[in-house]
Amino acid sequence: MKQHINGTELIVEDSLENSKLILKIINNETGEIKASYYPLLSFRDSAYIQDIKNFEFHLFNNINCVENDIRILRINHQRIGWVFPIVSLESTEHSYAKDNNYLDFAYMSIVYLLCSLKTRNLEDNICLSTIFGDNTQIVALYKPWTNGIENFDFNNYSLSLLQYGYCEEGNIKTDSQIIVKIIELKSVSKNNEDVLRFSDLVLKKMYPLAVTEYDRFIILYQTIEILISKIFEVKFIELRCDLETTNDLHKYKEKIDDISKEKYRINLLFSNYSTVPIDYRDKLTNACNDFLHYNEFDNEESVQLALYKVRNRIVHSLYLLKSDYEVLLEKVNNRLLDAIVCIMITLNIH
Amino acid sequence: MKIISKIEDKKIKSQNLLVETTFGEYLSFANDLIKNNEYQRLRVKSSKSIYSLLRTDLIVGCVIPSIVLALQDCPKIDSDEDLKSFFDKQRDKILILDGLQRTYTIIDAQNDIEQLDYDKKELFNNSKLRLEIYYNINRFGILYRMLTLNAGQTPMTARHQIEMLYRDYLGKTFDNIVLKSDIDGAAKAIDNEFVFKNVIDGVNSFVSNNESPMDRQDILDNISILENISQKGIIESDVFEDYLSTYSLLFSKVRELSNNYCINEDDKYLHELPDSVFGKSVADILSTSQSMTGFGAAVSKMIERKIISGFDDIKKSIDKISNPDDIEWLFEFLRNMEKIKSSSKKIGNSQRLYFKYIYRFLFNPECDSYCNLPESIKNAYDMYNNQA
Repeated sequence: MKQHINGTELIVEDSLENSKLILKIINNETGEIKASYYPLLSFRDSAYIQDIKNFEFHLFNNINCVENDIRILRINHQRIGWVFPIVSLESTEHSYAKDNNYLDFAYMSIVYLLCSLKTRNLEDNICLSTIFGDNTQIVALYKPWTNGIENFDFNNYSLSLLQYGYCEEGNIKTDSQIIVKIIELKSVSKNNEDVLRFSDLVLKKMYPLAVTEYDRFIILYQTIEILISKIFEVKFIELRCDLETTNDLHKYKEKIDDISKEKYRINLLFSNYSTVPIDYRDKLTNACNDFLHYNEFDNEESVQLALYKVRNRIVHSLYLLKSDYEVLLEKVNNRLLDAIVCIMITLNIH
Repeated sequence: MKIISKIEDKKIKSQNLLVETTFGEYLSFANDLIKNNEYQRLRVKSSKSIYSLLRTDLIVGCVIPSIVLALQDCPKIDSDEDLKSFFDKQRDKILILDGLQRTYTIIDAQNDIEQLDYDKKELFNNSKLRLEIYYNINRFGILYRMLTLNAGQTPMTARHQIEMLYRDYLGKTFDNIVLKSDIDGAAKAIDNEFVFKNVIDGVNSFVSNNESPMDRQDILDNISILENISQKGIIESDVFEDYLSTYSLLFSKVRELSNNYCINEDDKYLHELPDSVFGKSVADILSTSQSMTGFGAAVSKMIERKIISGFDDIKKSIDKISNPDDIEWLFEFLRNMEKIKSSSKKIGNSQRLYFKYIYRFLFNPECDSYCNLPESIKNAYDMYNNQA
């Protein structure tokens, strides 16, 4: 079968040689065979050769992944595809080398990657991980499965990959030691699209490019600032309506004062306008308090106060922090990212 | 075909003949030579224009550089008749060391002149061609010369060349080991059958002092391989046979130490082993490319550091490997391999590295774990972990 992706130079055609599957890479215009690719994985028995148009692919970077980090992707417990390191496509040593379902997707991924090469990159011994990078991961989705999801757009779901270290450019270092075999993708909330679209951009584009933990914290907190500014807007409009009917102007003024306070709005964000699981909140609180304690500041009981205090120390009292403050700040950042992803998935500021 | 001169190549201990022939005579066996060189690289695509220029030049009678050939299993050529007889009767033993692309071009030129008149055809067929022919040459001598002649040109990896040189071992038995092709299921380690490709990987790891997969080796590494071959003095002996006989000894010894034990389901539960282990028995484990390349690289490194002088020292050490009290070392090895699998960016490379460390600890007389398999397995993993 000949496979081609619109807009690319090459066609990939499969054939059998000595009972082994090989892929010929052909120039689309001239029909000349430019190179051959000999897969290491054994596709002979499980090659489920379909039209590549039935698949959707995305490339990500993940410095945390090892060869065996081959994961199933699901939405609402329904399988939609896989994400795996490109390195796994050229190895028979990982745990999925004989898994037929993985092999089906691996084969189509190889075809996709070969189709997307440029003629000038071709050489006799093509090594996909050398061309695309050892840290590159490929998301392979099966369209007949994703078509079952209403208004499916992968861009809405890719935010939830950030927690596992997957990013389109740059690097995100995670500290999770848990072996994850299934990733349940969740869509960004359909509410408050104006602020979420911008926050999504900040997280996906700016955060992975940050170099220091200080930078990462500032960018993450920027997301919080964007969301709580929306809360201020909404609350202010509510209060403006109440002004006509209120009898107690002192109380009214107190309410204005409250919504002006950042920590008040952070509390609303975590408690009223999104759903962040208790363990995520506790972990973030503990990480913030560890940071505060190490730098000889008092701890705080609630997540909003602890986070706000960390923010203030960094913005206003950087000179007071210990020289290695970034070690514990890294843990704060990792927990904060987890919490922000949850917020963005469940956000409903009304 | 006329022998013009004969000199001895003292480096590779072989004889070198300068021979004058004609294009017509060369063409009478050129197609057979190409068949012998089927493992060599295919026709170069990128320099089409250069070779097409050469093709037209040949027709008008240009002089081209000597084509270099090697005659395998040919100890003596005393006369032109001896030479002609070899070419007539043993063409399958003639290898092109340098000049494969020129050979293709000469064949193409012959096809071109079919359309020309008789005089031009005669001019072409009678034009002189020089051949440089090595005989009384062993395989590593051939490899060494190939690498030196091909350096800087469109390259072939050393691994590829080694495979080509030893292709006639495929299917044969050597020191109790049968070499089989790499078609799945063809080689049964329990019956002392090795995949030929894995042995080639191992030999190449020894020659290149590197346990990494060789197919993607940087061609520039051919230079360091040349230096390795040159320094180790391995042209004199047949490294392939030395490697295989030593490894075969190791294979038998460690199988004996394990009593040919085979991992079962109870073992997996009791000894915290994964469902899919690296190998269920020593035979499975030691017949892998990872073990063979680790061994080759380890031995090479120890020779380089003058810890040992060669394979003979390894053979003596194999005899001394002590008998462990139990089989726990096998379980520990498998657990370590599982840890490597779950934490490595490139599992195969990491496995090779671990094997290399095991063999270095096992065969280094200066180490405490010398000839002690359980200790070597443990220390090698600690070293691997520190490096990772």
